[in-house]
Amino acid sequence: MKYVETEVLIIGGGAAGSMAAIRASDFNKNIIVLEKAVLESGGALGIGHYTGELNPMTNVPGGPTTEQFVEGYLSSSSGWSGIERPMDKYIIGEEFLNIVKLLEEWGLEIEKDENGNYANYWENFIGERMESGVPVKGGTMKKCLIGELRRRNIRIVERTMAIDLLTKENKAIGAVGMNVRNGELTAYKAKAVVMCTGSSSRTYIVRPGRKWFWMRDMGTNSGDGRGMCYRAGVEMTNMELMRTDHMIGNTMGRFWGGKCVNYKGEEFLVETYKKRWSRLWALHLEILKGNGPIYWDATGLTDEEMDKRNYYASVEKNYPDISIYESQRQRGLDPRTQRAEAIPQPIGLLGGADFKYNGGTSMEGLYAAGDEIWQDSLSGAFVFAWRAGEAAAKYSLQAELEPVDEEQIKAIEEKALAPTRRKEGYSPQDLEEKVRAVMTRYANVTKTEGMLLQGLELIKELRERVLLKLYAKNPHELIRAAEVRNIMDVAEMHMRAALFRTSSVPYGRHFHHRLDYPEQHPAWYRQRVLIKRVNDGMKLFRRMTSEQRVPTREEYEAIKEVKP
Amino acid sequence: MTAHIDYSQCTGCKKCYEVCPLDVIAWDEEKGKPVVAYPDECQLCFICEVKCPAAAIKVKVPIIFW
Repeated sequence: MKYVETEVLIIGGGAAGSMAAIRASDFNKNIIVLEKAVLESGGALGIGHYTGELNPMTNVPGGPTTEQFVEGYLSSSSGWSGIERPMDKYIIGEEFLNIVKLLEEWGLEIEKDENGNYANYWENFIGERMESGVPVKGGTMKKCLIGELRRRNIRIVERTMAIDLLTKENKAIGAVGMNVRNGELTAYKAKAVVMCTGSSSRTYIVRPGRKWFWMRDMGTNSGDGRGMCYRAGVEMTNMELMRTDHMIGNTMGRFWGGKCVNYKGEEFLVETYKKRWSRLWALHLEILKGNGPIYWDATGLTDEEMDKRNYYASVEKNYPDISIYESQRQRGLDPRTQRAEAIPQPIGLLGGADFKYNGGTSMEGLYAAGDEIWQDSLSGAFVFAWRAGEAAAKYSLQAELEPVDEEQIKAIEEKALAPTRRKEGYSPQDLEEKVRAVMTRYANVTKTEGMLLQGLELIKELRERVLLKLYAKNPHELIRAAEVRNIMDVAEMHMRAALFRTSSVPYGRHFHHRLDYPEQHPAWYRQRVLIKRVNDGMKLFRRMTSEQRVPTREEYEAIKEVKP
Repeated sequence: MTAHIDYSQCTGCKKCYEVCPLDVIAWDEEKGKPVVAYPDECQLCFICEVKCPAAAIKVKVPIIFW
C-alpha cells in the first residue's frame, strides 16, 4: 500500500466535489480530489444530467426573496412531509446567487433579459409560489468547473474509488483509494475529508432484464459514501425515504410541454397538487387506483412548441435524453402522434449522513455535500459544497495529521483484495443484480413489515453465502466488488429504516409508503430516523427535526458564518 | 448492443477509453484499439459517441418498451 499525505481530501469530483475543492482552496492549497471515473465525465453533470436551468433565482429582479422562496417550498408537497429542515432551503435562497455569478465568471453562458439581468422564468403550477430559475447552457457547466479546478492547480486523482474511511476514534483521518484500472491501493492521509459521492442509485433494477446499469441517475453512483460513512460509524438519516421518477424509455421522462394523463386520457395532477401530495406519489397512486398506465401526451403540441421542448432537452444540454429520442426513433414512434408511457420507477435513495449547516457530520473532520446528503438539487449541492469545502479547509488548518492505524489499513486491504485471492466464486455483478432484485421485490414503492423482514433475511443470506465468496478476475471486477458492499449496506439501511418508521410519508419529492401504516401518523411528524453502526449491527433511533416554518433572519445570521 | 466501435474509422486516440465513466470500454494494447469489454454495464450515457473525434462509435439503444 502506497501512502499519500494531503490536508483536505475530497471524495468525488462531481458538482459537489468540484465546488468543495474550489472553495477549500481559498483557505488551504493542499487538496486532493479522488474521482472514480474522470473529471470530464464524472458525476451527473459529466454525463449531462439536469443542466438546462439553474434555480432558485432568488433576490433578483422579478424573483422571490429568500423568505418567499422558503415559504413557497414549505407550502408545496415537500414542506408538508414534516421532515424538511427549512434552514437548508433558506441557506440556498441566500447563497445560491453568489454561486451563479461565479459560474458565469468561470465561463457558463446564462440567459439574460434585455436589461442585462438574469432571465427569470416563474414556474407556477396552481397559483402556488414556486422556485424561479434561469436557463443556462448546462452542457458546459462541468467544463467551467474543471477549468477553475485547473486554474487553481488542484490535484485530481482520477479512476480512483475511495473504498473505506480511515478513522481514529470518532475522527476521519483519510481514506483508502483503489485504482479502477489496476486495482492498486493507496492510503490518503488527510486532516479533513469531504464526502461527495452522489446519490445511491444502483439500488433497484430500474429496467427489467439483464441490463441492470440502465437507470436514471449516473451509473457510477453506487452509494459509496453512504457505505463508507455507515461502516465508519457516522450517524445516517432519512434512509427510508425513496425517490421515484417517471421513466420514458430508458431515462427520466419529462412532461415538459406535454400533459401527464392516465389511460383514460384524464389529467389528474392538478387535483394532487391541491392535496399537496408529491407528483411522484400521485403517479404511483393513480396506478394503484387502477387508472394506469400513465402517459406523457405531447400530441397536442405545435411544431414550434415541440422544437422548444427539444431545445430544452437538446443533445448539448442532456446526453441522456438522446436515449429517449433514439429508442423512440428506432421503434418508429413520434411523440407528435403517439403518447409515450411513463412509469414511476424507484430510482434510488437520497438519505445519507446527518449533516450540520456547515456540511459537518457526526464524525469530527468529516464533511459531506451534494446528493450524498439529501441535497436533492444542483443549487443545494453547490451551496452546501461551498460551505463544506470552507468548513473542512478551516478545520484542516487547526488539525494535526494523525498517524494511521496499521491494523486498520491491513483490515481494509484484506477485505478489499479478498475477491482476488480466491480461485473461484461468485461474480460481483451477479451479487449486485441479486441485491437489487431483492430491493425491487421486497422494498419497492409500497412496503409492508412482512416483505421488509423477508427482504432483510435475504440480504443476510447474500452477505453470508455470496459476499464472503466473491471472486474478481481483474481490477474492473474488484471495483464492482467494492461497490456491491456499499450497495448492500445501503439496501439494508433502507429496509431497516423503512421497518422502523411505522408511518407513511405521502408528501415531498421523497416519500415512504407502508401499506400497513398508510397514514402519516402525528407521532412521526418531524421525526427523522437515524441509523448508526454499533458492534457490527444497525442501531436505529429517532430524532426531532426543526420546526416547519420559515426561519427568521436572526436565525440565519447566527449560522451564516461557516465555522470548522 | 450498446456501444459499437467501427474499427475502420477508429484512429486509436483513446478518447472513449478515457471518458467512459463506468469503465465499460477497455484498451487493447496489442491492437492499439478500444474494446467494449463490459457491454452489460453500459448505462447508455452516449458520452463515448458524443466525444469520439472520428465519429467511430455508435451507441445502439436496444429495444426498450418501457
